[in-house]
Amino acid sequence: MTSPDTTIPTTKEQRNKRRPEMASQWQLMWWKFKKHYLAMVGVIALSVLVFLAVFAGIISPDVPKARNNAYLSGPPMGIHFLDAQGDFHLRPFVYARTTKRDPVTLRKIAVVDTDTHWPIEFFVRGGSYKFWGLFKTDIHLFGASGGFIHLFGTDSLGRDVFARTLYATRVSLSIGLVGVTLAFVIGAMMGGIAGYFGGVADNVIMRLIEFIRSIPTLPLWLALSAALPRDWSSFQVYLAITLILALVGWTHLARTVRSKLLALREEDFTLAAKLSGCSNSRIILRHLLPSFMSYMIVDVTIAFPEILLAETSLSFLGLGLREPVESWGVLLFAAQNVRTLAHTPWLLIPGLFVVIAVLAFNFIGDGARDAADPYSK
Amino acid sequence: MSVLLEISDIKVHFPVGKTGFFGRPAGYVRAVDGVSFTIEAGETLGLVGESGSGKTTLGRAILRAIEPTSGTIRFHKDGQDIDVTSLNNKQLRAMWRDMQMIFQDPYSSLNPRMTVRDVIGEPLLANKVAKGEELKQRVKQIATQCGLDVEHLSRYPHAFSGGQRQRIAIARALILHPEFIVCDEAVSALDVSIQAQILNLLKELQIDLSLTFLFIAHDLAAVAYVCDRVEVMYLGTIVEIAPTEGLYYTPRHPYTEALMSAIPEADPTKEMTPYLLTGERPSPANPPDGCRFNTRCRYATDLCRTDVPLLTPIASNHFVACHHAEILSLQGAMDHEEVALI
Repeated sequence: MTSPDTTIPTTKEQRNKRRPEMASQWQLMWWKFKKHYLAMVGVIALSVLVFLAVFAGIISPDVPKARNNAYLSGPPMGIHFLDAQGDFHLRPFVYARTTKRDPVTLRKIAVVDTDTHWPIEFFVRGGSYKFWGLFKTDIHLFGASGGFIHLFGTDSLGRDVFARTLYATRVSLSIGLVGVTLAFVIGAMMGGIAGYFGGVADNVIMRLIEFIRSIPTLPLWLALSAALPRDWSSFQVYLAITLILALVGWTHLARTVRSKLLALREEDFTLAAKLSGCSNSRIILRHLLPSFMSYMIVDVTIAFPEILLAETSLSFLGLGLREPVESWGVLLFAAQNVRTLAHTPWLLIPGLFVVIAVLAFNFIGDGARDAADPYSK
Repeated sequence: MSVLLEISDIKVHFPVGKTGFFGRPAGYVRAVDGVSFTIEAGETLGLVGESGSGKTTLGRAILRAIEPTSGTIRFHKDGQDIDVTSLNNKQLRAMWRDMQMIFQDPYSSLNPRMTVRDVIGEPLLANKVAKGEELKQRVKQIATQCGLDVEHLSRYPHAFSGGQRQRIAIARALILHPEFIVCDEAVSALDVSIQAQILNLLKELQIDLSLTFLFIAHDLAAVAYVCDRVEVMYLGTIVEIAPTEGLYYTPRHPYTEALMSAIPEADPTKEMTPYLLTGERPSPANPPDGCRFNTRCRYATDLCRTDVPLLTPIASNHFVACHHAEILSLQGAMDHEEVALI
């Protein structure tokens, strides 16, 4: 065909030319979203976090459970290009560490040995891990030859905080993802029933939502997670915690779905679809769902940090995930008392990740909300 | 001409207010309250009346887009006599292939998330009439007939102006070749110049596809332009039905007279003397006794306040629901020579 709307763009210039009259709602939303500067920052920050989580095994210099007895509660090790004499080294290095006892407190302390360099090498062999649970490998992106490297320091057992944080990112983000997906499904179903059928079903579901929302969330999580058997495996606890978070978190989504359905049900195009001979399911799936999908995405991005924070708070209080699972909350659990904080403040670094992730999601949610209705004038 | 639709004693009552949590409704809004008329095949029947008189509700009730509370609708098609009010959902969906609707607001009647091709082709898909290449061809054909550029079919509705959108809506309503179309204020949301285009399009399509229209409007000039007969609604009831000329020149109901006197003149120097109705329109939840118009009628007598006037013939094809129709001499819309200009 040769009509202008059906020609296939051949040059890069043609491909890049915007055709708003032919743009679907997702394209229009993306164009609007891209204009939101903070949201794009959020997208980048989140992409980095997801990248770190996905490739946690290869990026971390060692497995998170490995203990380095030579460097207990060691502070973060900086990467240097210039040595103590001011000479430049093309290959970055860390200074060697030796342990000695503090003559006064008798605590083991690590001393920086600026004379010895441990150069950083890439794709070194270290502790073996299963790459995405598929195959065993022991390749790590980087490592220090002749010694060890702990970018974020170590905890009291000598475990690498950097590696643990990356693995925790994986667990925490996946809990958020699974929890939000579950909440999304429950919320869409309950909201859909309430909005489409109305009447008694609507009344019952709305009162249930109000009841759930009236309960203070923290005690509710605590009660539910305290009910988990102590002898459950960490994976079972992980699943149970996501389920608990989803069971409490679906209410907001259900409300959005219901209100959108109620509004859309009255739109002329819904009646037009009915008169066109569409069945109820076709009306919902083809005509209504695409219209409020964008609003649900906004709600999901806002629900995400809630669930993330909920998991972190629960684990921090010792009632969520527990060792040996790494999650941001579990890592922060170790940084609870003042003494650890005073001596090993780097244990708080996972908290920084929580802040970045929550902020990123909020920024994205903000941008998504602005872009959600590309047809608004 | 043969009768296409027979509407008898249609009522649409909406429950309002609740006495308790699961309680019974406190009352009913009688949006349409016992309306009977017939629509002949191939004609355009106008339906006029002020806002809230139940025009749209009646139009939708005829298609059963709103369930009528009581009454019957009979649809005569190819010798068949179908009782629309007794159809089940599946039969109703099949019925809608013959009865369609064009909406007032072309901005809310088109799903902004579907391309024009999908919007127009949706009835074909939903009724499993055509798909793939055949669907594309049929969409193209009807779009051309409705004055749309086939090269624009891949676009989304947001790229179109109101008039073009209304053309898309008309194409969607026509793609299954229905017999009967309810035009629910189909031009009132458009600019006057565009209105004329759409009205002409509807007229052309009516001849080409032998359509029957129920033309709901409050613009009396537009109604005069397209309609063969006009019925006037007030507060859920029909007060007058007549051929367009008869209704405009020689209205027989005081409410019609008031409507006619309110038609704006195209001549700005001409002085307008509309006969203004006084008082509020009574609530359809609590209509007055007797003639529903008695609270605002300048000719009302005691009889009007107690007895409900019935729709009775007063001239050929001219029906009116007024106790005093025989004795009143009412003012028409305009002089004959002015009408000739339209």
